[in-house]
Amino acid sequence: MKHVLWTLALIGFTILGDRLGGAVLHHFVDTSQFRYSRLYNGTAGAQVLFMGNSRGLSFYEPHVRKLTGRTSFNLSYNALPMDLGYTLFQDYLKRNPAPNDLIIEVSMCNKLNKELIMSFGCYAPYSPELAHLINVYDPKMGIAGELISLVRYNSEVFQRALYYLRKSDENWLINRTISPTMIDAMASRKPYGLSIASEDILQNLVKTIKLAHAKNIRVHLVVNPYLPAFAAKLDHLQPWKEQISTATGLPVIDYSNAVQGNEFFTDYQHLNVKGSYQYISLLKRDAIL
Amino acid sequence: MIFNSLEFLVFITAFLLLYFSLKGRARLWLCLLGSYLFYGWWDWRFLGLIGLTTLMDYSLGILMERSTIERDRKRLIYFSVTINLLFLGFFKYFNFFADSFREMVLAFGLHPSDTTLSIILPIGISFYTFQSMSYTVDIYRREIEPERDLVRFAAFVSLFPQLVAGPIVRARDFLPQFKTDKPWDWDRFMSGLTRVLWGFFKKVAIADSLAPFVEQCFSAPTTLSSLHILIGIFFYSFQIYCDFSGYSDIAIGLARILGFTFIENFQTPYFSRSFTEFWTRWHISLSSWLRDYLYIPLGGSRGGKLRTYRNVMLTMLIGGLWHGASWTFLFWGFLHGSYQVVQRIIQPYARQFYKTLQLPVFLGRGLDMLIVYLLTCFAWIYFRSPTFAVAEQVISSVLSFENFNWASVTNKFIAFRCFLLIAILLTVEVTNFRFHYAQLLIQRPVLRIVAYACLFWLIALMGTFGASSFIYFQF
Repeated sequence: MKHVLWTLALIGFTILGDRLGGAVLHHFVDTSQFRYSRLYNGTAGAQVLFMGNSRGLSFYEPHVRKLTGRTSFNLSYNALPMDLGYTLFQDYLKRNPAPNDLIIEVSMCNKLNKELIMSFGCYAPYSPELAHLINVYDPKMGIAGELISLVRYNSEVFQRALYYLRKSDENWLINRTISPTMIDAMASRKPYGLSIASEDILQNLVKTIKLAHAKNIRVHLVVNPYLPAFAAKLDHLQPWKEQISTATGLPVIDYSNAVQGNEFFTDYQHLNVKGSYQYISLLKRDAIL
Repeated sequence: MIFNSLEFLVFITAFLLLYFSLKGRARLWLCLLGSYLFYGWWDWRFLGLIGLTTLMDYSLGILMERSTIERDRKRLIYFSVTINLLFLGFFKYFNFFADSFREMVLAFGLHPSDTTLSIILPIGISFYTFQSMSYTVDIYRREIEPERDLVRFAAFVSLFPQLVAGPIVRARDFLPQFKTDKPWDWDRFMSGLTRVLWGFFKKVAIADSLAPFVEQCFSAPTTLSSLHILIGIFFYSFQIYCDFSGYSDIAIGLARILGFTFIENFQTPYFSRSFTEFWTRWHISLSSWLRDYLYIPLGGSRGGKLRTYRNVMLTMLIGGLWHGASWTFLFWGFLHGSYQVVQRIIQPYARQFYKTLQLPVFLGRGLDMLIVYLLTCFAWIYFRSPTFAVAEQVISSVLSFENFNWASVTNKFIAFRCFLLIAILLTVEVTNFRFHYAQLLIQRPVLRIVAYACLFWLIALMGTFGASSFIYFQF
């Protein structure tokens, strides 16, 4: 009997701690200045909305404000796949005023990313759509998140929410220059193939555009700049763009080779702060921004 | 079936319920069938090989005991060792030697035919082969009596907690434990559960969290900064430690719940002050196996310095090759052998040097630990790299000191989380020297509840739930 009581005490204490811990961590997520916390709090209203994977972080908000005078909000996240992008966009429109423009960096259609979708578990209590997406990819983790509160906060996304608890994340862009070793290693690299991850991913892009058009939002599809030597090794760029254009009915505006100079890049695929300035200037010149 | 999977949770629950409701021979059969189910879950074809090894060594053990002529006994032991090593060699090393031979012939301008076969490596073959082989050797040495009950012997070879990644248990310690039925014991269950939970924390929270960062460093070293790669090497030293010792903790804990006692496999190895000490604290069951069945039969340290150095080098080279069919593993063994030889040569001078410097004792010890740790990390580079070319890229990236700053480290959030987890591990391990948590938790039930709950919360908050395999399964 004694052992049974101890076991019950253990279970009770563990559940209590889990619920209490979950509530505290939820409060942190709720009050964070991180972009998705702002999205779900309804404080993310902006004139221009950006969406992309880590390459989409090049839409650097301080530069956009300085060069165009417009407010912007960036939904981009490292390796963000299009199905998650669509879910976030839906949630954005439900909780925030519709933007005038939506700019999508289409290389986010190239990958599926189950792990990242699981990482967004800390925002699942806000969004039935997000909870559903998590369940589709991994029903076990979906159930685990329902049963054990702390599991939802076991992710890099939550860590970022914690990091941006008291400060803005608008400066989220790596600011360093690509190393000479990396540039040298470029010569021996194989061509980099571009391809759509799946038909479903492409349909999520189509759905995003339809939803945006239904809300009278202008949509621009772009390919952000690559390091010039890397851009020269892009494989299937043209058919890839055509596939997206055919599915969406929108042109894909190609900036893959638009920024020249290694000093504008962090690595092969990402602009640094200086490079972002160059790129946003080009977007303004072309009346996209 | 791996420990960190839902299937295993179902398996172990059912197994424990049945195990403690059965007695005697029925329990023995359950151990055998349960272990075969556990092992066959990966691939049922693996069962044939383990069954064959079991039958062979069981029969040879009995034949050896019956034989009164020394020459016949010798033949039997040679047969056992040869066949065991042939199985191991074929499944583990055939492609390695075939590829190496082809490369060598190609270097002479000849074009041999492709001799590589698609051989599936049976998981844990190195572990159970060594375990089974030591049984026949011990009988040959007349250190143990052969086991006449085939079911008991088969259960000894295949018992699931230690089957695929050790600890490598010895017949003289382990076989007698099958002869008595252990009834359910609440304290033993709690003690075993503590060990299992701690093992899960090491594996699921620490090792699996470190894995992606490490993988990035060793798959694309030229694209990362020197500091990033240096951190990756540091993380790998903890990834492999937590992965393997985590497995051992789970195995030892599960065995304890069932009423068995396994040999300890790790004892805070990164706090070693010499390489000799390191090998008494890292993968203890393998290093003691190599000591007893290889180093000592070679002559150990009895034949003068040069012979000792030769024996150390040979033992470590074979220890390296045991881990896998690759030149990098062999080189890893060579490095550890060299470390031990050099240490034996310079140790008297080093002591003298410390005395001359009048270093405080704690500083001298700390310095020793640091040197051993850093050189161990250097050897890990070769252990982790798939080829020498990758290892060289990793080393040259670190030594270039290019972008040696925190800003150049990508995935800082993952890195921060990993540092935090390592800090938790080290705090527990260091304070354990003083508080002896295992005993403390048995004595204080309230503390035990808090500790279990904390471990549960930490695993929930920091674990990686992809049911990834253990590194040592490949060995």
